[in-house]
Amino acid sequence: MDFLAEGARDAFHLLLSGDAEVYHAIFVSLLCSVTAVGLAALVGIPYGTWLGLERRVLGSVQVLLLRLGMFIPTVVLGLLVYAFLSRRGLFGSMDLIYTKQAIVIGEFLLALPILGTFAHAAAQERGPRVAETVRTLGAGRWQVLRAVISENRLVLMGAGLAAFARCLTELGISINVGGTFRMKTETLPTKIATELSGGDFARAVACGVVLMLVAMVPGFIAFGMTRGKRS
Amino acid sequence: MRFLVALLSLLALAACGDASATRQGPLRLATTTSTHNAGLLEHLLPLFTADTGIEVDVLPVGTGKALRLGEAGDVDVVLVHARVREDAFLAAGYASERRDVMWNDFVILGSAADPAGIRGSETASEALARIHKAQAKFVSRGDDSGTHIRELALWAAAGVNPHDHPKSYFEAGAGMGGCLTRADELRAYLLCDRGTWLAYRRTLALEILTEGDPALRNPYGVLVVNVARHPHVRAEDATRFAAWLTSAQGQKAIGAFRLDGRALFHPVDAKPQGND
Repeated sequence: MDFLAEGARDAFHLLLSGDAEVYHAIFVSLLCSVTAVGLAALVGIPYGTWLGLERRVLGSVQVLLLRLGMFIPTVVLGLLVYAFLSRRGLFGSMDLIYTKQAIVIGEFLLALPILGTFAHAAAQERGPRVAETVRTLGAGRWQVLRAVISENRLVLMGAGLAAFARCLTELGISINVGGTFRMKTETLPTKIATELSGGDFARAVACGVVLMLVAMVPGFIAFGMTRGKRS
Repeated sequence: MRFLVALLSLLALAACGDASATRQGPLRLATTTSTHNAGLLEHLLPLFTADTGIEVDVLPVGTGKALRLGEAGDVDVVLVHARVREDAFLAAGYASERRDVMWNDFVILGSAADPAGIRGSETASEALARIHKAQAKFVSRGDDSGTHIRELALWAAAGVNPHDHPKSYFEAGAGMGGCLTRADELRAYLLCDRGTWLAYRRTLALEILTEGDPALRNPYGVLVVNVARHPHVRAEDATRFAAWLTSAQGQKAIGAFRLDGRALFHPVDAKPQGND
């Protein structure tokens, strides 16, 4: 089991020596998952909250679809997005296959059901009370939505973190639609896979340790932000 | 399943600390994706098993990884194509012997549009120099495989550095099949062994643009992992496998293998054939 300790040592060495490939993979991983989660939050949170506030047309079907969406394997999402973006696909002419944008599209679809489901659940539970209060103060439809979202922000931040963690660490999307191109579309998880298939086990372990370090940062940030909220 | 059992028994063996005992189960062969994709091993191994009673499990990986598996003693025998690496492997004592097995050849593929105009290039060097000059897209294996090592040598022989144009040089870190798909999507050029190309070509819009240059010949060697270094490897069976491949019978079986009605791998003494 020496290789894990060696991997940790190599990981710090890679980070300290400013290894361009590793830093680029960190950059691509963060850029894609932050963008994807940001876009998914913009769409999924208002949508889920809207679904949870009142009875909607086919509301339970929409909720079911959101919940089922959380269970789509990332590799299937990758295949789905590939099918649309491939040259033979519907959007093939847009030249998006094997780009960071393609990864963002896939990760957006990964994050959307998570944010939507949590926003819906939170709104259903606490939304009506908040909505009633702000309506008596003369709030319009949009202001009600904003008030409910604001009231639920801790839960939504948790959902955002969960979505971010999934996007940052997923392999199935970025391998299929990103193409694992070095210094272009290589993310940290795909870098681990390609280093391993190239036989460089030590580097793969080191990249794994780097990925874990990067993945923990948002957890600590969120902890710092919410600490003391109870008081 | 058999592989799993072999793996588990290996782990059990390691746990007992009994590293000197010969590993049980089938012979383990690490080889390149090129022999596996084309279906050559599916053709050869049943013949070998029928002759010797020795069963073989195949790990299809890149040349780089295959050699590392051999170095670690995780496999008994290695069949790869990167002569310089093979010689280094032997010289470092990781193998007890090395034999020439067969050869096939590489081709340079690209889209029919051929933006760099390499169609009809006499040599691989000329084709690569044109691709470099046109800054046309090129997909590289980028995975330390035998094909990747050869590709880098061909760039060097052409006197150009592909990294001069990082925007159009795509290092995938993937196997041959994955790179074919990528190059097909990007309408990029790439270097591919003929066997994998024939196995995949029906689904691809790529075509052969340069072939037949002696610099594109691709010799394969078999390496028996050194029992002196890894006492648990099945050296006896591995040696029999290497001997069988290079025997008159093995060589005949290699030459008899057909994909799409054509010979793909040639026995070591076969003359270079014209590429139709």
